[in-house]
Amino acid sequence: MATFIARRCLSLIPVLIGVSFLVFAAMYIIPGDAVDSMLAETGASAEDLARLRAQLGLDDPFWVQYGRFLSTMARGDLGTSLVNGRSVAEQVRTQLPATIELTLAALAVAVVLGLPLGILAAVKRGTWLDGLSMVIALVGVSMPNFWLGLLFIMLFSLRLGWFPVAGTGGLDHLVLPALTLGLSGTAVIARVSRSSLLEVLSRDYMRTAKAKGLPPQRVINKHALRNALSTVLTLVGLQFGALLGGSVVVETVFGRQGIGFLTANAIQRGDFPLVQATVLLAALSFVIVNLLIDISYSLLDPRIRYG
Amino acid sequence: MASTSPPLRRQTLSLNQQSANPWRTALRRFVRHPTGMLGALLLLALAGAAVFAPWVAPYDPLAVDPIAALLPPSPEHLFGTDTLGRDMLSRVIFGARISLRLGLVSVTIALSCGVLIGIVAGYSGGWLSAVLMRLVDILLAFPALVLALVTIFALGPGLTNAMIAVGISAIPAYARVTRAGVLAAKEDLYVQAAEALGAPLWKLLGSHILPNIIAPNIVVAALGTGTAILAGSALSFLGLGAQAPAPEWGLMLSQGRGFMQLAWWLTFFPGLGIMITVMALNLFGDGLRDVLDPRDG
Repeated sequence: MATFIARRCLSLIPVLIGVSFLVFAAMYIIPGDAVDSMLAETGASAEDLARLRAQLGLDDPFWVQYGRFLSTMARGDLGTSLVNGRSVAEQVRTQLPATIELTLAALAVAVVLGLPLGILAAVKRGTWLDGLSMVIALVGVSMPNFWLGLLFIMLFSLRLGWFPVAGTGGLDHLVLPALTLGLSGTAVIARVSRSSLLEVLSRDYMRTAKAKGLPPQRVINKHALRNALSTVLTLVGLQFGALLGGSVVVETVFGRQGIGFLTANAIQRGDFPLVQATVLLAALSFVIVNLLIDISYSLLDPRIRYG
Repeated sequence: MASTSPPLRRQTLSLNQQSANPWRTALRRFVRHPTGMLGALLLLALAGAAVFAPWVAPYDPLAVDPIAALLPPSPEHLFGTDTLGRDMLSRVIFGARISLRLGLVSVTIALSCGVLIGIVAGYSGGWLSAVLMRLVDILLAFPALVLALVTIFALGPGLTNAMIAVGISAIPAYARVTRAGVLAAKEDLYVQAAEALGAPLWKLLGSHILPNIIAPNIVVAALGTGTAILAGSALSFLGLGAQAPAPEWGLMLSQGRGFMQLAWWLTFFPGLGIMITVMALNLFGDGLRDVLDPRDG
């Protein structure tokens, strides 16, 4: 098991280097650089710009700059914001808890609602319950989350006054954003768990379990769900990525603090270091969550460990 | 979809003329697929509205009329008017044009790059395949919308750049599907026979391998168009895609946000437009998947 984990961890190194290269290259090809952004409105002369550029090493060759970028990142130095001059690492540290809270809450909504919906649809295949579950799932995957968020605000905040319209705070500030972000995941998990469970239900060992006279509840819980769960678990990892991306939009809709809101603002203001840091953080967390899913997947199914 | 070698196809022809053309069989099955057909009809209606928008829309979507600002839905303006007095129904109809174009262009970019990467990686093998697939892995390490945001940051905001950004973020899906198809087709006897007969590479890939990887890619593209429209409108909602005064649904939602209490129709109808379009594409894509890949049905 330790070898399996070590091998998986090692395989991430080239991917992470590639991710950092891609992010750095994307920032590098943008016309203008940090000096242009910093001194755009100060009326500095061309000589001043050239001097500052040389001081910051921005006229060094691409590979030298990339090497310096890697080494500063490795030391945890994410630079300073071009807009407010504050440390990027500090801003990320301040905003991260709100995004983790939102993402985990949304993931919980997606799993807690999606899994039973999918199981119900599979077990009651062909009935109106199956049809209804799948219509709900279809609407869920087709609805843009920023629209759903606005509809929630109109109904639950402006009309009924149950929840605050915007901001970050206690549980009441979390309910609508988590539901908004989690419902599309609910739909995806419901669809996949239904088809995964239907496939398992048609296997020979399920017929054997039923033929042995096991109660239907036990057949589903003990035999079918356990086998269908590995597909759903993989999907949860992929959904985490969708939730990270979705948090940019949902945090903007609800005016919530968080990495998503920070990223959207940094992109609009052309804040290179902040965009670099938040994008790398998103990719890193996505990769790590998928690694954890892979490891838990191998715990569920020994064939993967030794395959 | 099961691959059929030319000799086997000739044999099948003689045995059963009805099942000779797999595409015709698929079309017949699709016509009998109720939800798939519903999606196709909805898409046809949306495409019709998009193509004939100048004749279908009751007003000019950009015509400003300050006296008619923020009128609620009425017989004159079925979807109401916006803050500048522009007719919302006309803007929603013209919005279908932009969104469908965004979906199609993004998917075309993703499909052409993904299929090319997948074919080269699948057929060449060796270091080239390894390098290309590591590149795909790197793209996959980004959540799709985050990758689109990075691309937009590098290219700058705008509708065309949003299409490119969404297209790039979807490349890995097509590359993987294509590579898997090529790897499977490479082992088929008819491909090995064509190779042994000295068929040129372009003919081998174009006439023998490509037809076998089209079906799964069509399914991914149909479902991916909906995802692309969602991502593109999200970028416009964030102010990074289409720019004012374009009647783009995501942008219209963003502009209506400040008036939710006063004028619900500003946010309701553009969102409904996105949802119906994406739902139609999902129904159509699900139908295609059932028809072209019965194992998943």
